[in-house]
Amino acid sequence: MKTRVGYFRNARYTFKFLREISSFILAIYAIYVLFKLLSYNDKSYTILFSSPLQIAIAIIVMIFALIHSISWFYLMPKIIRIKINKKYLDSRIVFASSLMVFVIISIILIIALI
Amino acid sequence: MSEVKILVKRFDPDSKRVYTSEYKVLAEDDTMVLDALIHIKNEIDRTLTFRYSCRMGICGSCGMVINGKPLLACQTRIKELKEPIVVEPLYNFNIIKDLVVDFDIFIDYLKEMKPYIIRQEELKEIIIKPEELEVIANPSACINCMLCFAACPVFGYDQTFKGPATLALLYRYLMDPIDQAEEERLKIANDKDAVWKCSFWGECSNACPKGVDPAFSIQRLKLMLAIKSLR
Amino acid sequence: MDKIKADVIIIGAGAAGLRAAIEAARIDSKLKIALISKVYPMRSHTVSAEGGAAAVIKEYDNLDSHAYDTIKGSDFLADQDAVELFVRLAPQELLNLEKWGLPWARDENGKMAARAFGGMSVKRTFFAADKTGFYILHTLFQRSLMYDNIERYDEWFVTSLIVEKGRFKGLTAIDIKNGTLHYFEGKAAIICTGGIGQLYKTTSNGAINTGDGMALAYRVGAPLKDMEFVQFHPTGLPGKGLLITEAARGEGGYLLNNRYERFMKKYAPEKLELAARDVVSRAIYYEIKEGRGFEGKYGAYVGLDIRHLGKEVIEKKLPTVKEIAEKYAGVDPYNELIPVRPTMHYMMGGVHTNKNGETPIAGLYAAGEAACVSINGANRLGSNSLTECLVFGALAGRNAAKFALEHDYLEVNKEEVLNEEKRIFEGLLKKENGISASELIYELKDIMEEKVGIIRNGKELEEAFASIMKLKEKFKQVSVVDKSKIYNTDFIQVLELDFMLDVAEAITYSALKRKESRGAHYRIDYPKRDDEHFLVHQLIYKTEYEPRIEFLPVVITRWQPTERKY
Repeated sequence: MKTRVGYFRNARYTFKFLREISSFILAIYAIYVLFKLLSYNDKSYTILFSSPLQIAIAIIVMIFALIHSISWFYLMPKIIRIKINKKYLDSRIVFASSLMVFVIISIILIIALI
Repeated sequence: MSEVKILVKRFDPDSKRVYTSEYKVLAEDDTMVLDALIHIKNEIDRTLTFRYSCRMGICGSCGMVINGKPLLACQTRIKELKEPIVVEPLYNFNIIKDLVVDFDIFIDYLKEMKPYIIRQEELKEIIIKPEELEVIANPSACINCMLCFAACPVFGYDQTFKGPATLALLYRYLMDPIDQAEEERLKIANDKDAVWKCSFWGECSNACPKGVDPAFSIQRLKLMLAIKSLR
Repeated sequence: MDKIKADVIIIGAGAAGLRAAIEAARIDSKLKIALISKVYPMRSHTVSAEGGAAAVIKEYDNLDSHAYDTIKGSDFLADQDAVELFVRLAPQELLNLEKWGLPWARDENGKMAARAFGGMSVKRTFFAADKTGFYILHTLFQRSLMYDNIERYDEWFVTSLIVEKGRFKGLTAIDIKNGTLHYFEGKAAIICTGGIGQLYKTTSNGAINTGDGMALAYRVGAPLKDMEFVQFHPTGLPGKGLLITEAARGEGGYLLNNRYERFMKKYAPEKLELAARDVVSRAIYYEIKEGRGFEGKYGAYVGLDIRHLGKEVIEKKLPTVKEIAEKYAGVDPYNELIPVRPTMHYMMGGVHTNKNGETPIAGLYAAGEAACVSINGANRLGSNSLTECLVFGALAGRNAAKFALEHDYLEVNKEEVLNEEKRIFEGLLKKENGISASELIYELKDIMEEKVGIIRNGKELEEAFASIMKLKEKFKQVSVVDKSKIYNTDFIQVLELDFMLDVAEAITYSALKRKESRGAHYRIDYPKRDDEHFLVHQLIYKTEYEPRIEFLPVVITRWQPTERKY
């Protein structure tokens, strides 16, 4: 007999599980967006926010997208380490800078779309 | 000196019964969970069964789950734990008795990694710069305590996964400056049950008492395999 | 009960056992090697060794120097022909490990780096961080996985050896996982069961070091040798006994009394902290006895000062020291002194072998700490033990393999083993309402710690011996609380206690009979070294009554005993 303890043993593990399925959720939502936009002639993004339910789903998906991206920026420099002058760049610096770039690009995109 | 309550989740292999034993021990600031268990066995309950040897965190015998975390009992201070202290056997392994689990599966997987230097030609003199050894310093520090296996949710769900420690050791031999079996080892890594089953939770590195980073080793192997497939 | 046949059976899977297994397996792939260990190999106590392994590899070194250092360190009790063989074979063993992937520490030129160590006149101790034993054990274990003809019996406990007409023919062992007794039929066996630390209260040794192999050999008529020489390592943590490696002193650490003086100046004016271990241990003992120790929770201690070594040296070369100091003593070695006091550490004595690892029983060999060749004599120099395990492990492995190739099996039939089964299961496991084994173990540890320790005298040794005889009587009333056959650690401890009592008897009796002081054996009633009468090894044989001692002269080749000063 054994104690098989997998994905939901405590809050931290459950959160990480959410991180894992975030890619799944984003993929499904992306297909949904594509489908919605292709099936309407009026190609306006307001289609996606036309009901409270749709807005709620959009917000949830955005949270997952943020979890997904931010955790990726956090983990990536730990594996792909950048060497500058014999020493490895601190992964926290890469994390912080990639977050900044992310925010800046997001702002630019939002402004462009509005 | 104060009295603490320790609950041990036990398993009796003869009756197949799972039950909890409650013990009260006196603990000081520097009393480790292992000290308490040894005291319990000597003075209170000689049937309490657990593994230990070195008492200094290098033999890897005393791995167990304490208050939900896989830890080495000899390195866990009682005073730093919330009461009641709950001690149970390592997750994800067959329990033989009380806190003793069967981890033969690790040794079987380890053997598949060919964890020994493979060279074609004999070496006369070996010159290795200290920097070349830095790569293997981390993964070679593994004491085979199995805390990472207990922490890994993937292994918990699917025991065909080769496991963090196993793959870290594969990486260690792959990166060894004098090993010459890179092709072979990459092939071993490139298995659906090997690196590709890992989904980078990082709990293994979190749990390792010696600071080994199996998560890093495995992702590096994935990177190497990905780059190799592009060539 | 199952019979298992193997050409070479190795008891114990530490450095010596694994090295022997690899060597025997290499000699002939058709040889079946059974590697029996009561713990998984990577748990063997080799894993805790920190400092390093010595050998003549550097150009500034030479074999005679290593030999002389070892012989002087042994207080001239080492057999010089064995030492000459040892220093000659040592370099190849370390270079071998290098080829097998052991990450020896390197200097800037990429060559193996050496550090200073106690009693060594030049830097010849090679190391891997300060976890040399860990790396050696894991490298050997992983290497052993390469050989299909090594069959491992992990967590099997050997209970007796079977000898017929002066030749080894088999043994009995319990598979701890299910409590069943099996018997092995073998052509040769090698005892590599390590040391005896659990006989003492304060020890650096692990729970598994109970002298099993020594007792096993003792009981079938193989003599033990030099059992009175018990090494106390000067720098262990007070109370817990955990080791602070000699490398801390090798890298330049100081020992300070409560006046912050480097008191070793008085005891070893030349070598100071790097004198032989028995000298340093006694020095600390005297400093504490004369009131110059610091007071602490576990009694008085002296301070090990590595503050001046600097963060880089400590991080690179003494990381384990830092970890142990912080975790178990609660001190920060960058800014505080580490509390240290002598702790029982190593057994110079053991199963008597010649320099080929052979015991007087044909087909029975021994290597490592469990054996006594002797190259360590009355005191072992630090960093010689890991090398010793490799050199003599390989020699014993090779010779045992050759013996197996040249000899046939002697049959062991079931009837011979039934008595053993009865002794264990009817006699020990099934007994009811007796005394607890823990009680006896505590008593034994008290006796050994108080009366057979660093400073001894005849009266206390006699009392100790009498007490041990009484304990052996009391042992007949021990019963096991855990009646299960499956993984019964209560029961295994009782079997270990049985062995420990035999070993304690041998140590105490030998100490009583050696009426001189030499190396680690120091008696107030005979404080001087007596080469005229005692330049001999004491072989101790088990009899029905008091053990029997025989003298074996020390082999002297080129170095005449002189006064031993550091």
